Parts: sequence; structure tokens; C-alpha cells
Amino acid sequence: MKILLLLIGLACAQGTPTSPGASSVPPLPPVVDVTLKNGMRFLILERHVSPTVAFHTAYQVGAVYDVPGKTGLAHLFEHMIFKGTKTINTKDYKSEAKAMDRVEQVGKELILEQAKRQPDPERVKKLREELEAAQKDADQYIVPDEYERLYTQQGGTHFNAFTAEDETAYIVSLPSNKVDLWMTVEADRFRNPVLREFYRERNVVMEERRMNYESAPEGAMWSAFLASAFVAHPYHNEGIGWMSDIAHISRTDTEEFFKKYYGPNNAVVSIVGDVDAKKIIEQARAKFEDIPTRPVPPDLLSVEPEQKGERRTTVRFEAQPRLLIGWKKKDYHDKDQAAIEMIDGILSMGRTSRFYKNLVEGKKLAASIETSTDEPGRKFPGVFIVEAAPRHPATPQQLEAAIYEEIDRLKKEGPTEWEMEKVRNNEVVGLLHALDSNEGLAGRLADDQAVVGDWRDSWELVAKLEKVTPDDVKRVASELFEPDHRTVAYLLAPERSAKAEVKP
Amino acid sequence: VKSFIALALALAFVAPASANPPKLAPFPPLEFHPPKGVRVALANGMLLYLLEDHSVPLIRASALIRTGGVYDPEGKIGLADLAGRTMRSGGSQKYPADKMNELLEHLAASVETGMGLESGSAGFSCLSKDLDQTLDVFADVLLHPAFEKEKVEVERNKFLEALRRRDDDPREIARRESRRMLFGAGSPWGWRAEASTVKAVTIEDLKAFHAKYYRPSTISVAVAGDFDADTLIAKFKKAFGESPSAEAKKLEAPPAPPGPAARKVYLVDKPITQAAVRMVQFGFPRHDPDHFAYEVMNDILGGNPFISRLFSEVRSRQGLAYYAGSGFSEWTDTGMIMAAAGTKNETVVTTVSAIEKQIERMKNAPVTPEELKVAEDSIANSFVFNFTTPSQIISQRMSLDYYGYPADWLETYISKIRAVTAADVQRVAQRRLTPDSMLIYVVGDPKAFEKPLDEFGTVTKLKAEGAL
Repeated sequence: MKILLLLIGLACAQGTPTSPGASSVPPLPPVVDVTLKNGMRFLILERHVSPTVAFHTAYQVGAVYDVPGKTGLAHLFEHMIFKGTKTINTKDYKSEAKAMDRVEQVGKELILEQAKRQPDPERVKKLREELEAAQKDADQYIVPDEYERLYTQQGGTHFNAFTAEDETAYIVSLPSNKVDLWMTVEADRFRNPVLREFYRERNVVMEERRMNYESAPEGAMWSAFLASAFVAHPYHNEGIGWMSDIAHISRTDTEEFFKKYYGPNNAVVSIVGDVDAKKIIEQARAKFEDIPTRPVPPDLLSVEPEQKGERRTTVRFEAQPRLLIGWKKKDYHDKDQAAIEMIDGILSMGRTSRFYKNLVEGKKLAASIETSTDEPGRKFPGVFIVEAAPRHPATPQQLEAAIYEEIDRLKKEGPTEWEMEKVRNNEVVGLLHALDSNEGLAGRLADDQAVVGDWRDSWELVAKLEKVTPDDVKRVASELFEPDHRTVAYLLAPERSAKAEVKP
Repeated sequence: VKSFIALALALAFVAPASANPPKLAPFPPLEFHPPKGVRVALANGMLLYLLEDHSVPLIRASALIRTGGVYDPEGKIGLADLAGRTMRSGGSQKYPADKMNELLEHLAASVETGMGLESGSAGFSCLSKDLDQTLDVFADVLLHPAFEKEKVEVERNKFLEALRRRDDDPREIARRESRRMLFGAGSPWGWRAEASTVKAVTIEDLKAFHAKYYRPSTISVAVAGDFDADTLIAKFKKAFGESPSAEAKKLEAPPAPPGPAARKVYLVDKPITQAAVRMVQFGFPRHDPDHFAYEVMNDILGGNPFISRLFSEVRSRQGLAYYAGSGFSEWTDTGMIMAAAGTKNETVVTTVSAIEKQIERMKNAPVTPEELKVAEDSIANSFVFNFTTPSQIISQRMSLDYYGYPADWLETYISKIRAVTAADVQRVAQRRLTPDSMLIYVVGDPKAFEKPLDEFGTVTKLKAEGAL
């Protein structure tokens, strides 16, 4: 399942032998797990395969912490922290700060004017011009793109960031002789960020929204699905935020968000590659330990009430039809999580999976069909989803009915031993494959620690799969796939063009 | 979209202590001698590239086969692609498809095949203990594919469904159609499969395609992982046979139409909030001496994420787009240069003009010494990332060989980049970039454009539904 990650830029894991059949879980990698006095956590894994190192910093704050009326704030902050510090991207911060104050003053006035029931178009126009002029004035103090250049010039790759519902992560890989660069720049960045050029970058984020959610069918369907499936919990909102909300966010709001959530004690950093763990700890202490701890606000988020009946939603879009079905599931830490992972594999892993064999081949109703266990996040109870594209001339309705037939058969008959063994073997070997990449490992360690509270999660989950029985699968499938707990989204062409279709 | 093929060999990186950001001590030197692996030519003509790595009990292989989509016959465009899809999924002589699926998936192993423009591809991965079984399947798939009728129809229908869905995503329309309009719908460099051409492909066509292009002498395989090289060579000899196969013919790439073309502007009317803008022109083939200077130039113009001129100006300074950049593709006989951005309908003309301005600027004035240094440092310092895993190292060695790069390509790469001067950059910009004749392709909602696109030339209007 492709989750639409909000990236700052475009896009752009060792063990011992095992024997499937009696698949055994690879041993935990020798991660050095250190928490500094201020609560900042470092997970370090030495891999001396090539002289490179991957850094992955995950803050335990994501789009779910956005407040109503200002959705998109967490993601907008992620963009803004690429804009430098009090010493990076600036020629003279003191003078610049004054010029930035003027920008902010006009920016806030413009937000207030535009939010009025009947904005005065003359005043909006005038304020826009003033904003532009104020930004131009502040430009004289800017050293454009200096932060990005520091990494790029030194050979940085995989340089990016993403905001998920439950976390925000900052990523870069460097040649391993440049650990100092990362330590120095990142310590400055998360201590002294300066959100310069705010209103320009806000426009960039609006373009990101237009691209991924307004002009792309999958994004449009995904937004509508979430808004229907979750009524109280903030999983209701797509992380990019509603367009009008983005337009209401000021630099001041964004700075406050930083102060509230970006304490060192809310961060997990994983560093994987050609490094000396002892030395990394020393450097981390020297650079990061004196950043003061900040109280992390409690998770006072609305709790999603039990769903009492199927929900359906339709999105009209100039595109061929698609569908998305999601069932509310229990918390990721529930004892049945491993059985759900097993169900996921039985339904959609490979050409022997039930969905592929029976719906893509067999009944020939689907062009593609995928499942995913925990959307849109793992920190709070989410949904198990099936996403599919019907194959002409099959309709979404026919495909939907066939999906339920497969699910009902799993509920009634349970899985075969062969299917379960296949899933276990693939999960074990999948972990071995994951050991081949600094970036993949770093992401897995930091994300699992930040979102589900334990970097060992991948290994433990694979171990738990060993204990899942056919009866567990049957029972959990019956509980999970409850019709009253599901939400169904269709993406359909506007009626006029659906009729006028002249496609082969 | 750099066509920088993953690059290997006896390389020693000694990166000198370079200019540092403020307050940092000089970086220690980075010394690295990536393993090069071995290249073995078997008596049957197959080329093997092997690199042992015993850290994980896995073996991974990738293969290139001398064929490709550009050699399709005109009435059957999509033949090579369909063959690439079905060679594996249609089963083989010894392993009927369903049995093969069960066998491999239970081992958590994989064998796959595919098709590129100028190469066929294949690969396998498995636990090292399952090598014999997996290699047997891999060889049978490459030498004796069965093209089972039912599986071929499944793939054909997936293909047809993909064609039906090809106008769903505006960026995909712009990518595909701009190239098609540049090279022409009748040129293999521009054409696309249609339902009729895909339906015209018979099972006999697939078998004939395989017989024509697939035999040990047309196949190169790069293998990395937990094996003993001598033992593996013996296993390959056994699996693929030892008798010589007919030598691989040098394939003649179809000619590209002559360029440069006159300026053309295309507009696809689609009711979306963000217009996809793509500008394309003819480029240059691989092995062109301009490659290194052009690579540096493109890095500065729009290739480098975050700091290129297009990114910096169109995105960061003007807030017009989320993506804005440039790239180039090099093929045997021809190439393509492109720039792209996505912007709200209300700023389409502004964005096209902003891209044009940066292209003109690249031609009209030399880059600054600072820009040149940052670009060259960036390419040189990140070079080590071409050598991060054994499978990456060995497959790039194979790939360079396949495309005829000289043996010292990797060893001399950095020095050739370092030798590029600001004058070289301006020279290739002037020689290669032709903004006046660049084809402009826009997918968006013209009702909301701030001005008509006419100022860039005569606009050909198209509808997404059916007319493309």
C-alpha cells in the first residue's frame, strides 16, 4: 500500500542463516541505545560495508497534533526547518529579524482579512503587495539555500524529510568522514531555527497539496476516505491539511508549534553506517545534551467512538474507477496484531495470495489489489485497508462483492498451513533483505521507536508470527471484518464523461 | 532524472579536505577501495559478474539481455513489454506457472523478468541454501519460457487496463506525450503501445521474440551475496549449458528524427487545480564527449534537488511549484533534455517563463565559480554512494559493460567532473539547449490560466478523454 508521504523534496537493513520451513527469526542487530540526560534518544548501529552513514531523526509529533482550523501545521513546520538558523542562511540575523517582523505583521493582517466573511478585495490586494514588498526587503539579509548547500556540497544524499500522522522525520546520508557536519548543523537547526521566507514556502506547500490530493486520483480518494472513516480522531484529516487551513497558518503559529513539540526529549535519532558508536555518543553529548528538556504536551486527542454502521463515500474525478475499503481495527499493541499481519500476507502477498489468485487471475475482476494493516498510522487505532482497481469491464461494485466473498471464506475456513508458512518465511527473509541498507535500517529503527515505542518491533513481530495459529486467523478475521465497522470509498468519473468514454 | 547509470572497479577514493562550512574542523580524508568482483565469460557466451559477500545468507542477481522495446515491429508495439511481463509469469518448460509461484514464494525467493527501452531485464533473489533450486528456475525462465495462454491473457489484460488508466495522472500524461510529440508517434523513441497493438501480439509472436533475442550469449548476469565464486560459475555452466550460442548481434537502434524541431505548444484540458508543465527537446546519445560538462551544467540548472537554479528560483524564491527541475536521458543514438514543474493554473505562464529564463541565463552567462565548485563537489563527494551494497557494485559494473562504457569509466569519473570549467558549462549550454524550439506540454485547466499560452507559440489543444 502506498501511503502518500508528505516529503519536503521529491522523491525521491545482519543475521544468521535461517531455514524456511522452520523459519527462525534473525537475531536483533547490535543497536547501541543511549538516552542523553535531556531525554534525546540515540540508536546507533555500526555497519562498515561502505564509508557512508545514514541519519534519521524522528520527532514524536505528526499531523494528528494539528488543531482544528490549522490542519497542516506539523507538515508546514517540517518544510520551514529547512530555512536555516540564526547563523545559517543569513548575512545579519539581527537586521533580518526586524525585517521578518514586518513580514509577519502584514502576513497576519492578510490572514485576518482573508478569513472575514466578506474580505475587502482592495485591502487584500494592498496587503498582498505589502507582504511581497516586506519579503523583498527581508531578502537582502538572506543567503539563499545555504543549509541545503552544506549537505549537498559535502556529498549528502537521500536528503529529505516527511510528515506522517504520528511522526515527523528528517533524513540525510553522508560520507562517513562528515559526521561532524551533521552533528553541528542539526544541533543548531533544532535549537535555533529561523522560519524565514515563511509565506513563500506556504505557497509551495499549497502546490504540494494540489499535486498530491487535488490533481491525483489516489490522493483525492484517500482524503475522502479518511474524512469519512474517522469522525472524531484527527486521523480524519489528511496530514497536508485543508487548503483554507494552510492559508490561515502564520509564522507565529508555526514557531509556537516548534516550541511545544520539538523538545530533545521528543526525538529519536538513529545513526546507521560506518561509525564508531562510542565516538558518536561523545559527539552527541557534546552537541545536543545541553538543549533544555521541554515538557511534552499530553495526548489529549479525541478518541474515535465505535463505528455503528457501514459508511460509503464517492469522489468524482476524471479518471478510471478505484475503490478503498477500510475496517476499524484495535490498537497496534493488541495481542492479535500478529494475526492481522498474517491475514494481510494471506490476502495479498505475491502471486499465490488469495486476492491475486482469485480476483486478478481467476475471476479477472481486478487490475491491482493491495492490503495494508495500519492506516493512516500505528500510534492510534487505525484501519485495515484493501485498495483495488477494477479491470474493465468489471465494476467497482462487482469487485467489492468479490472481495467480501474472499474475506468471508477466510472467516469460515481459516487459512491453510502452507499459506501461513509462506507468510512466516517471507517475513523472516524480508528482515534479512532489510539489513542491506543503512537508510532502510535507520528508518525502521527510528520510526518504530518513535511511533510504536520500540525499535525492536520488526524482529518481535516476526517472532510473534510464529505463534499465530489457524484458529487465531479465523477468529481475528471474523472480528476485524465486521461490516458495520467498514468504510468504503469509490473514485468514479464524473457522470458525463463516464458516458462519453471513448477509450479502447 | 539523471541518466547517471549506477557506476565500479579498482577505485580508491581519497577525498581531500575541502572547504568547510564555518566553525568545522577539516574533514578527515575518506579512503575507500570498493571491491570490484570478477567478470567471467563462459564458453556459451554468457557474461557473469560476481561479488561474494557473506554478511547475510542471501544471494541477489540481476541480468541484462540484448533486446528492448525500441526494436518492436510497428504494428505490434508492446510486444517486447508483454514478453518481459510474461516470460516469468507465464511459467517455463519445467515449471508450470502456478507451480513456480508456489515453489518460489514458499522459499521466499523470487525470479522476475522485465523490459526496458534498450535492454531486457531479469533477476533473482534467494536464501543461499536455496540457490540450486532458484537458479534452476531462473535458467528455465530465460531459456525455455512457456508463455502459458491463460497467464499471458492475465498480463495482456493488466497491460490493457494500464493503457485505459494512462490519462488518470496529469504528470504521467505530460511525461509520456511530450516525448511522443517530440520524437513523433511513429518513432520508437516516442511511440506508445495502443490497445490494438497489444491485442495484435500472439503467443507465437512472444515465442518468436524469445527465440530471436534470448540465448546465453545475449545475457549478462551480475550476482552478489553468500556464495563461492568458483562453485557458482560451475552451477551457471550446468544451468545454462556449455556449448557456444550464436554470438549476440549488435542491435541497430532505430534512428531518431532530425532535430531541432520548431517550437510547438500542446495543451491538454483537464479539470485539475495544478497544471503539469513539461518542456522537452532533443538531447545527445550516451558516450558523447559533452557528457561530463553537461552533467555539471544540469546539476546547476535543475538536476540538484534543493539548490539548483530551477528549484531555488521557481520553488524556494517564487513559491510557484512543489517540484521544479531538469534532467536528461542518453540512449544509443539519441537523447532527450527536459525540464518540468507543477504549478496552480493561475501561474502557468509565469512558471513556463521562469523556466525559460533560467535556460536562457545558462546560455547567456557563465556560472559563478561558487556554483561550479558546489556542483563538482556535490557530484564528487556523493560518488561513494554508488558503492554502498555488493549488489549495487556488481550490477553497475555489468551495466556499464552492457552499454559499452570504457573500462576506466569509474576510475576517471571524478577527475573528468573536476576538469569541467565554467567555460565548458556555458559551451555545452549554448550547444545543447535550444529554448526557442523546446516543445512545451501543459496539462491543466486553461479557464484558470492567468494568460493564454499563445505567447509561447501556436497552441494545439487536446482533450484528455480519448483524444490523446
